[in-house]
Amino acid sequence: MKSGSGLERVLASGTFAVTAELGPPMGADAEEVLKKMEILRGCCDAVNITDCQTAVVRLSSIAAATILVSQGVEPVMQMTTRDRNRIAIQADILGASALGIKNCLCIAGDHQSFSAAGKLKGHPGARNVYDVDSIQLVDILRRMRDKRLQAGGDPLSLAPALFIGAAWTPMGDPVDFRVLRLGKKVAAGADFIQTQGIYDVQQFDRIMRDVRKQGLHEKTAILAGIIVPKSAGMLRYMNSSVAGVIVPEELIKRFPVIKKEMPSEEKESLRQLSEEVGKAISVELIQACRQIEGVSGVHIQAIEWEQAVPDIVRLANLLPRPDPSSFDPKQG
Amino acid sequence: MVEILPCATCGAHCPVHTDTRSYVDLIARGRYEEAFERIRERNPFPSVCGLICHHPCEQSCRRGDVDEPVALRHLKRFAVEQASEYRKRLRKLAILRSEKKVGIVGAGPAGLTAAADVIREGFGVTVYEAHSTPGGLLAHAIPRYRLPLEILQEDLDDLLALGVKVSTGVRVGQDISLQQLCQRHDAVVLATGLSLSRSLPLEHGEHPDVHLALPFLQSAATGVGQDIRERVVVIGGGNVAVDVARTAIRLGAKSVSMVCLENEEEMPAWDWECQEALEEGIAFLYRRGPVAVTIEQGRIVGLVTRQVQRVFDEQGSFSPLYLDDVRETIPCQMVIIAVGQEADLSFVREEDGLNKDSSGRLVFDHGRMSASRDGVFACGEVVTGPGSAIEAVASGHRAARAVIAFLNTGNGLLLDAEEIHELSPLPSSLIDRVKKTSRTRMPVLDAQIRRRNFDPFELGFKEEEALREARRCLSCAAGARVDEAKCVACLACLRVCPFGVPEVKDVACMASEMCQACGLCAAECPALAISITRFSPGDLRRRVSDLLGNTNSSGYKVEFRCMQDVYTREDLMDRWIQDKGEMKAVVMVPCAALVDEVDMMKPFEWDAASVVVRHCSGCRYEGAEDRIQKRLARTKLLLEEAGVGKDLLTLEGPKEEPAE
Amino acid sequence: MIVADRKPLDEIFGFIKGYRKVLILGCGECVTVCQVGGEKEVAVLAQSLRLKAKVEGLALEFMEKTVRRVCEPEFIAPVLSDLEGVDAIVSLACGVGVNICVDRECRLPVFPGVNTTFMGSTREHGVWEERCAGCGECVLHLTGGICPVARCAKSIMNGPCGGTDRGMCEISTPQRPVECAWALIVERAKKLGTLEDLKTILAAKDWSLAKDGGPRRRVREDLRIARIETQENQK
Repeated sequence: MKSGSGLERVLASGTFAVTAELGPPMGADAEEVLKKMEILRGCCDAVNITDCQTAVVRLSSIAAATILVSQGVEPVMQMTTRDRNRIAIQADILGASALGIKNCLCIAGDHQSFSAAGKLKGHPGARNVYDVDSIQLVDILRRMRDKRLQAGGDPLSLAPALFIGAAWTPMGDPVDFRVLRLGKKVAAGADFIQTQGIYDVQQFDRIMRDVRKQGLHEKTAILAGIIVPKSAGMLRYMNSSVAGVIVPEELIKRFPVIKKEMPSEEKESLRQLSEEVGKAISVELIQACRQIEGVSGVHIQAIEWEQAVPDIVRLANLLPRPDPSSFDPKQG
Repeated sequence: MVEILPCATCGAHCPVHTDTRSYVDLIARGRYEEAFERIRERNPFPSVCGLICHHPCEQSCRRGDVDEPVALRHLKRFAVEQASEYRKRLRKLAILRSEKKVGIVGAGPAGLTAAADVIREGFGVTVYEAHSTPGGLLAHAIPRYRLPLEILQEDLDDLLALGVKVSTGVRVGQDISLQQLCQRHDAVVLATGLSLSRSLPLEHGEHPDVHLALPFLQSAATGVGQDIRERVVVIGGGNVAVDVARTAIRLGAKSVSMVCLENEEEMPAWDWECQEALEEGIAFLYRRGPVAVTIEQGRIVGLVTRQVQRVFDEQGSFSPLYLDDVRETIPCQMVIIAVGQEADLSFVREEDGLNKDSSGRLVFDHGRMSASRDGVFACGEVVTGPGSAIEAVASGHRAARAVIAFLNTGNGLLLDAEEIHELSPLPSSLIDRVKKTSRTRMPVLDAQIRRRNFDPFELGFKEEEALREARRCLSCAAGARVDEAKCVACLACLRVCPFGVPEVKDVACMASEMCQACGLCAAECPALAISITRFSPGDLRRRVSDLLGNTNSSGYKVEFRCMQDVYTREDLMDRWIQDKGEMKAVVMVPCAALVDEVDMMKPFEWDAASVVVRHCSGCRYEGAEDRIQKRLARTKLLLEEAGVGKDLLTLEGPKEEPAE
Repeated sequence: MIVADRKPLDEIFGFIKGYRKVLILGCGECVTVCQVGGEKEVAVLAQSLRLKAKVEGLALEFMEKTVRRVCEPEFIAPVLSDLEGVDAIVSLACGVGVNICVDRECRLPVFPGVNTTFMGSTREHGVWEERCAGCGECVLHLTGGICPVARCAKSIMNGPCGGTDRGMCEISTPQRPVECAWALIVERAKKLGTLEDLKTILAAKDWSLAKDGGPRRRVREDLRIARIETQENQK
């Protein structure tokens, strides 16, 4: 075992893994973290905590992850390279590991200009750090763990026990380069991969063929990203504005059309119907991805709707989640 | 090595190198008097040349590669007409600075040109003219429908106003000998021209109704009275022959035919003159050689001609071959022989010390303009052979230079060979990019009317026509110049030029054979490194400053207006006008795209209330409208920033001007 | 070349309104080419400031001068030594130009008239784009000539990130389209046949060679001209 984390054990056992996402609050509010955590307890093997997603200041991933550890829920900490240089990164990793955090997802992070969107002012003028990129970050973590060395070459007194994750956008532009880049992440030491939201399963399937041809699925555990849709509008938005997310028209059509003029009761019932549709779609996607050879699990993201996750996991026949301690690490 | 700048082809081909491009530009800007003065800088016969010059400038005009040459002669005439009163104010007696005197024989264009140049240098001049009036062939042979006497007189009056003494009715060799002239004067110039008509050996050629060209023309030209018959045949194919034919028809001949050895292409007369003659009903009979005049009952009834096989041999020399047995008789009652002119050198005596060559011509050093005797010079057709009026003027200038040097130093002067570096032809890539406009037609009297009188048949340009025509000029060799010390090779000129003129290596280099002097590059250059010869650097800034700097008013309007749509000279001037009861300063520009940000902002510094840039109805420079729109939009933002306000500057198109 | 944008007129005016005679100083190199600080733009700025001063009712005099290249001592020294009556300078040269005046011990305040932005190239007349970040350790041989430091918003060395959308960077807006540098790098690699090379993981950059390492200096000892010690220059 590299880290002995629950997620690692579940994956090592060959069980189809489930991770979910928790978005921390925009305030020093531990209660909010605990509330969301409870919703997700038991319905997934580990909980990702985003790290200032879209560069918006939120309670840090590392702090929220610590809260989860103290409550017996396994976190996946996320670390962007946007906000920290390699010194801070390594220091935070040592701290995280010392606090019991074992899973870390390495990402570059959205550009700080994204923080000033909609009603938010954000910090578009902040210095962007990007001292290292996501692949170099994976490499740093692996060296710390496996060689007990800092990036600069100085030794560590105790290596962090980490299960290193990286993100993958299989349908990102340029599509034909994405598998090559996945290979780089794996070569750098990515133990597990969480992908960008998948809606077009057929295309994902085709891409996974290339992945399998290169044997990448055996070197790393790929968890397909499932973004739970709430409405046709949300799907349309993601299709047009979120890089690497492609939504087939049939899925969008399944949502009821809610018009402004409708009476509020009707709107309310249609909204509830939409939610059901969204959950149903998510379940179908999970089941479809499960059929694809090389997909080791799913990563469910229900943005500001963590409540939907338990239902979805249940409807997808993925409950109950296994107890990771039941897996013998020696056989991992 | 000093770089010789190329010069416009029109000026290069003019025998006196008139700055033609410049006078055309001055006309285009409504500065007619200055145009006249520019013409007269090199040519003391502007009125004459405006009517009769054979315009080698037009033949070389590069506009001709695009559509048709600019009507340079007609424009010259226009400028002369506009300056007819003005020129009188310029008359001034030349100040004599020397005791030395020059005697000139012959008051034709060569002799009078030399006279004017010499007297301006301060030497006394006397011109001896055998005829009773000066002018040479201009007065005594050129038909009046081509050159009215009062027009010739304009030039003569200006010349005489210098103080040149002309002794008419004095024939050198008869009333005074050349020897006496040489004693009386410190230098003598022979400018006697070619005053004798050549004749032909013709059977019955001595009949009284067989005339020679010059005497025939002279009687007609001086109105002495000339008989004419019903059918007239003119022998000859040159310009004088055409003049004779057209004179004959005007005198009342029913039919006039020209018989020449040459065919249509070989005929030496100018194409346009042949065309005018054809319109007037003159017939051309090519490849005929005259043989004999046939007489019946004491009157001429015809001219026997024989077929010409060829005129020039393989080397191109004149060597006609006849088909002697192919004959045709042309019925006629009068025959006029116009086969060339020759010099009358009978006034030259043995003791004068002037050598002649085997063909009887004066031995003459063209480099020094001198005959074989010290102090005796010559110019014009007497030594150059047949030529045009303007060539005679050029020759006169040369002789004057030699004479002046001789009088100042006692020595002859070897005149340098001319080094004119002419602008190369318009590249074909450019021809399609120049907006085509057809040449303005000179209104002429209808052929049926004009063939019966000696009225001048070209009616002259109206102002609008002259302005339109002057604007067709491509401003050759008057375009962009780069100050290499300032140029940073930023490539702005290259990108903005509609004609692909700039070539940028370590600095921008303007291909003068392509530049149309539109000025777009100069307005765009961020280093202010480009100036346009056609308008002097800083011209616009200075004119705005001149117009507005002295005003005490405020709250007035300023308008930069494109000259292209304007057709009167008053409207071409920078001026103050009333516009809807408000004062407006109008500054005229050759193209709206030349007005830059500083020009547009400056008037506000002098309390203007608003600024308008008014473009013309159809800019001929591709991209110019886009440039001025964007530059103006930017300047509006600058004015907004400065607190003046962006709405006070506008771009407008052509509009009708309310009466002032 | 170095590209700059002119500061808003209000801001420049704010610098100088307390003075009497201001020199507007232009430079004949980069800022002339990018049409913000050459002789023409000096004239435009001076005219704009004259109008603003007039509107504000202030008596301000302006002098206009442009120098071949402000960043050279021999070009700037004559200007700085001949400032009759001038009490402030607005420099339209890049930031270097402002600094050099102070380096040359100019006793007058020198204000920047432009915001110096980037090192870039001309895409078309009027459009300039950043191309080099001056990182001090050029990696263009590894990326087919397309700079990931200057042209990737995240300066990623192993790109692209997941934000590429139809060849455009995630920070693109219609007003400011930005091509994804890594999409370009991949394209280029395909054309050059070097796609396999992109499998190599590029190590983290040594930013100490960039501005992060402090202000940089380049010395060519072989070029330094020895001053012969004479009594003259010992004084």
